[in-house]
Amino acid sequence: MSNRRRWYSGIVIVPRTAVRTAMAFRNQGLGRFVPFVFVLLFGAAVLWIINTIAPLAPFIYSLF
Amino acid sequence: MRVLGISYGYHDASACMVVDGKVVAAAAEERFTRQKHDANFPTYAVEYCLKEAGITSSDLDQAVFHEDPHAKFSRVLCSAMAAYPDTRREFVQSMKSWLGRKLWAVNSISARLDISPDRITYLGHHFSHAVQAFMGSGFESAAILVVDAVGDWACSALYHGTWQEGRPQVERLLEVAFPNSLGLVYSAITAYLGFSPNDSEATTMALAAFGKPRFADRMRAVVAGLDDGLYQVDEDYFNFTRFFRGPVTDKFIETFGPARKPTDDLPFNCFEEATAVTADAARLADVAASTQLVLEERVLGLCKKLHSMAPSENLCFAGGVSLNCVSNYRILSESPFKNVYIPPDPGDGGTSVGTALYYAASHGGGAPERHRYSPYLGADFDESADIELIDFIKPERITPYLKPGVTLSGLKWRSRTYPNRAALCAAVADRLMQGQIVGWVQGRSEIGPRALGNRSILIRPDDKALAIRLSKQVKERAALRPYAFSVAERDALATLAIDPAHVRANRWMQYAVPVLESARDKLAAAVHIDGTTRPQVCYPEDNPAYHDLLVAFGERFGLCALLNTSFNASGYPMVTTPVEAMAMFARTEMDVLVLNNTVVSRDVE
Repeated sequence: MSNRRRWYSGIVIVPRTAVRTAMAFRNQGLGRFVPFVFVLLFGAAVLWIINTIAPLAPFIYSLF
Repeated sequence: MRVLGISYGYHDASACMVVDGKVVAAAAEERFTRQKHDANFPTYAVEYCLKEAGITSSDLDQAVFHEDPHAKFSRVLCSAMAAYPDTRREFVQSMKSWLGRKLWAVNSISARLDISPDRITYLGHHFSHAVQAFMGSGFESAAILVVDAVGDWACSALYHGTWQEGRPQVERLLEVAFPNSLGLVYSAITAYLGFSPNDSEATTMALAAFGKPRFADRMRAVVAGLDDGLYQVDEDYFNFTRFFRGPVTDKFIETFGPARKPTDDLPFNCFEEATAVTADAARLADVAASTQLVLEERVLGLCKKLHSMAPSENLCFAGGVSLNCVSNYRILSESPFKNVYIPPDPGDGGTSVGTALYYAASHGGGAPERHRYSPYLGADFDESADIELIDFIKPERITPYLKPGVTLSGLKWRSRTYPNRAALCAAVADRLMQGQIVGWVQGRSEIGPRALGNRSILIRPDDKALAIRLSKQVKERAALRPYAFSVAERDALATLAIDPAHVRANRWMQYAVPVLESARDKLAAAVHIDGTTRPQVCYPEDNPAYHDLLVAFGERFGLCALLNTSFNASGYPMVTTPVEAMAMFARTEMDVLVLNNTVVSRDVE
């Protein structure tokens, strides 16, 4: 099996990181922070999407 | 099995390649990018390691990262929220950094190396330090002490390491959690004293020798020792979580006096009697001395605690605080441990070595002796092509780039390649005897912060005026910072007031050792005002070329010892390539540059 990175690796890592982060909080007895952490992660994801599609803005404006 | 260790994200990014249980290459990113303490992903260090192993990233069996980003994020988030809304700026900055980048370290490594995330694993930060300390020690069994600023949650940690059926077993015994951090306290006081935290802690240590610990009792209240050898930091004195407000609180200022501005002069000098020491300068030196003393007491307390939990003759010590050579010598001479091992790069940069070795041994088996490694793991070079550049260098073209005050402009460069090492060492020893400043660049560069005879600047050790010229015209180094010397093994006991059993521990400049009164005249430029130095005892099997030079110099000088300082200017990492060495040679008052067997000089014809 090739050990090269696949195109979907980044997508797999996102939920894996979220779960491991939640587990890290629980292991430290900080389970009550987990919902807040997920809010932060969701906010980060939204900002990431906005940042990613931002270069398309001139094109979208040009349509109007 | 091919394992790549990686460390980056905070400071001193590095990479290490282990093939079949042996370290084949290791280097810090700063040596390639020329940014001191470079924390970015170690692109060039990884490239070098892979090249040295003769493989590409797709041939890697595993990559190991030096800390658990998820656990560390939990600490960063909680500490940033601990004093909210006071910490709202710190919270925003931390979250931008962590949610945008650091939390996704596994993805970053996978993308950069183009390997599957399944081939990437990580260890806890202090566990990485523990295995870094244990793996290269050669001990069958040892107590392990880790003391640094902060990792995931731990600031100090005690471990016990053994080898069982050819595999290392490292067990955590106890952790002292954030904010009880000796490293953070020392860094905060370094900043309070006007030096750069996470860089100039050695200057605080040097300043301590000029002071008296008259604030020790107050400092003991700040970092309180507990009955069992552990300690507790009073957070009211420091802004660990409110870092935008400066390193220390108003309470600290009320207790110890105002902080020093980085631009304020300090009148202390290693080479001359201090004149006009103001009360304020004396106070700052006394604060440094008190901090140093309490740090030593707390580290010795941790050693005592560790010995009670893991009775052993052997101690392995790592983490940023293990760079404090004064404290290290007290461990060597006063702790209950008989043998002490500190890896050549005990800070974060060396964790890449420890993690890679540990993973390789855990999955491929091994033995303690097999995993020992030398510090000479960095990039090698062929100087021949670069030497040819000398014919094209016109002295007048260099003049605009000279360091202010340098007077060696207008001299023609010359080079001479010697046929063998004996002839080279004889020629260089003659120049050293004449009082010349020699840049000495040989073979592979060292890992860690110490120049150990492959990227060194050398002078004769008895000439204080020459050392002052070295500080001013070459190194741009603070006058209060002392130099150290290298000594050939044969003369170690003729120079150092040390237990013969501890001589070998001094191979890598990790202990501040008292110098014998009888040798102080001959070593006057390399002894601190408290009569100590941080020696390198050079064994022929460790560094044959450098040992030969020490012996050749000893035949002329009467003592096989040279003042040895790192080949870099202030604020820059050590040089790696011949061109970098030539650039520093060009703009400073270095008299001679030795690149393997070639001597470059700018003598008057």
